[in-house]
Amino acid sequence: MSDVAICGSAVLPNAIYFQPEEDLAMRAIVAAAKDAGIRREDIRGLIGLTPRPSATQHYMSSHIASRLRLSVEYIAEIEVAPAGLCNAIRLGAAVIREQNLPAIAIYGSARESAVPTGDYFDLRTSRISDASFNGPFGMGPIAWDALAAQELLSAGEATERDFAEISVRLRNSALQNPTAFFKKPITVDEVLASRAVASPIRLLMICPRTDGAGAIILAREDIAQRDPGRAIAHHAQAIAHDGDNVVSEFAGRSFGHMPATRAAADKAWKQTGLGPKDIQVVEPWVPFSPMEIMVMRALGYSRDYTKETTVSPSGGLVSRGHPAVPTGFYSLHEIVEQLRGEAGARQVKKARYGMTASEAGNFNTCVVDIFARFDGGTTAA
Amino acid sequence: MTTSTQPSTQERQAALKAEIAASREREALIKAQAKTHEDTWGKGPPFFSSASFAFWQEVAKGHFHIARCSACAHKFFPPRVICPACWTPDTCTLQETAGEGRVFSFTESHAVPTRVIPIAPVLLVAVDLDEGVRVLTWLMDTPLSEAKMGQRVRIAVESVLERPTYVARRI
Repeated sequence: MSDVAICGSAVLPNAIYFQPEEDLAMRAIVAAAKDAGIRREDIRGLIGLTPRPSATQHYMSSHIASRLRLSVEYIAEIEVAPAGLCNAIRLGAAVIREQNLPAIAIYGSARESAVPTGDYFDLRTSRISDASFNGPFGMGPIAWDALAAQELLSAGEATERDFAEISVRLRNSALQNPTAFFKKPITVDEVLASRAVASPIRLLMICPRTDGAGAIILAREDIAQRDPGRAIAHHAQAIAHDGDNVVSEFAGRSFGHMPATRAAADKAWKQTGLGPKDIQVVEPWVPFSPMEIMVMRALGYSRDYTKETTVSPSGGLVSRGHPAVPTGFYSLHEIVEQLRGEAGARQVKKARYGMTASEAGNFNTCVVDIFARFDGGTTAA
Repeated sequence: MTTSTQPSTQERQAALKAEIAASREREALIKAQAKTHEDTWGKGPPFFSSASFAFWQEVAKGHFHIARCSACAHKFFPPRVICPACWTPDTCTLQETAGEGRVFSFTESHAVPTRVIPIAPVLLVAVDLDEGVRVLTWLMDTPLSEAKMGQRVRIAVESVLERPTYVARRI
């Protein structure tokens, strides 16, 4: 896919915002355009991730196009789940090729803080896996990740201390990321002493629900060639759904082995001829620390995966923050900064390939995206 | 390209008319079911579906069932409008069960819907029934320290928070 590249990227700091979603989104779009060094007239398409029903402004993309005076030849909104940003990048690239557009903007924004925690459980997480048969019992993402984590513990594949160490590592990474929500270090003892939420998951193993916004500028090859060291190619994408619910229909099926993630990763490796150790930096969708072990295993890494690649240098969802609609932009932004060599204290040496693995909120869908430097090189040592 | 095995335009139109008539008849029945469901359960959850209507009516009477396709005999849970095995619509029937099986995994969860807060934390369990289907429910009267993978349990309907609810107990 080297004829289209990501030429601009921007995210707002993870925080609690009082301004509405559309304002957050417009700030991100303008910042991404500035990062790309592109003129407004060259942005000929706009793709948004549909905001949560709690957003005050609906028909968001049409509204934003009018407020930013963006005259576009393509406009669309995509449902955030499953993996809306990944789908938007693929759609955007196809539109640029088909219509020979110079560039399009893709954006997403959310104010999780506008949704009280009770409503969050009653109206959202309870309705994800099965709104009548699972949700009323309290089955949501924390609970099903806890069921999977308990599987790991019972099988002797991990300990609670392993989970806590992941939280500590992610927090240390977040301390180097100016857009991360958490700013203070934590210890393993503090994680293990934090409040139990869904055993064996404790409070400091759980992502904070934050507000935020992100945007990218996807551009045609001639635009990317203006600054090939900062343009990022979308090298490959693989998607899989395993045809089952997170509460499986079938007795005996594991919660923690994530067949969709394994299938998507296998497909991505076959498409590219790459393998897990060829990727210098991975930003997986991991809202709860124990899930990192499961995702990395399913992507093809060993149990000592931190020795094989750099995982979530941004701090990940657990420490960076999880604004549910635009979270993917934060993962991608980290990959963009790493592959450009602009990640500062977080910079991974000789970065050439970066990967995101995006879950749909349960274990049944996965989108694996591999990104590469547009110039085919690596960052400096 | 048309072949002799494909229906003619007239035959397609006749089939479409028949399907529209059947759909109207089906919706009239389902509308009545939806009214009965709401009279029993309120606006939900459990939310109404024609596939699970009979299941929830039986739960209200104190009986737990799994589902069985009347076309291909596949057993599944929860009930649904299209059989997941043979894709035949409207063949979901109720299958009696002893409700016995094993705990596949468990979590003591404090993160529950508002209605459940009075009994939190709950011991949420995935139960693999002997029939080969999985049911998510609560394991009652079991402290976390006594929860075990593989524990034999039986699922039955009890009154929890003043509502008939299918829950598991150790056997």
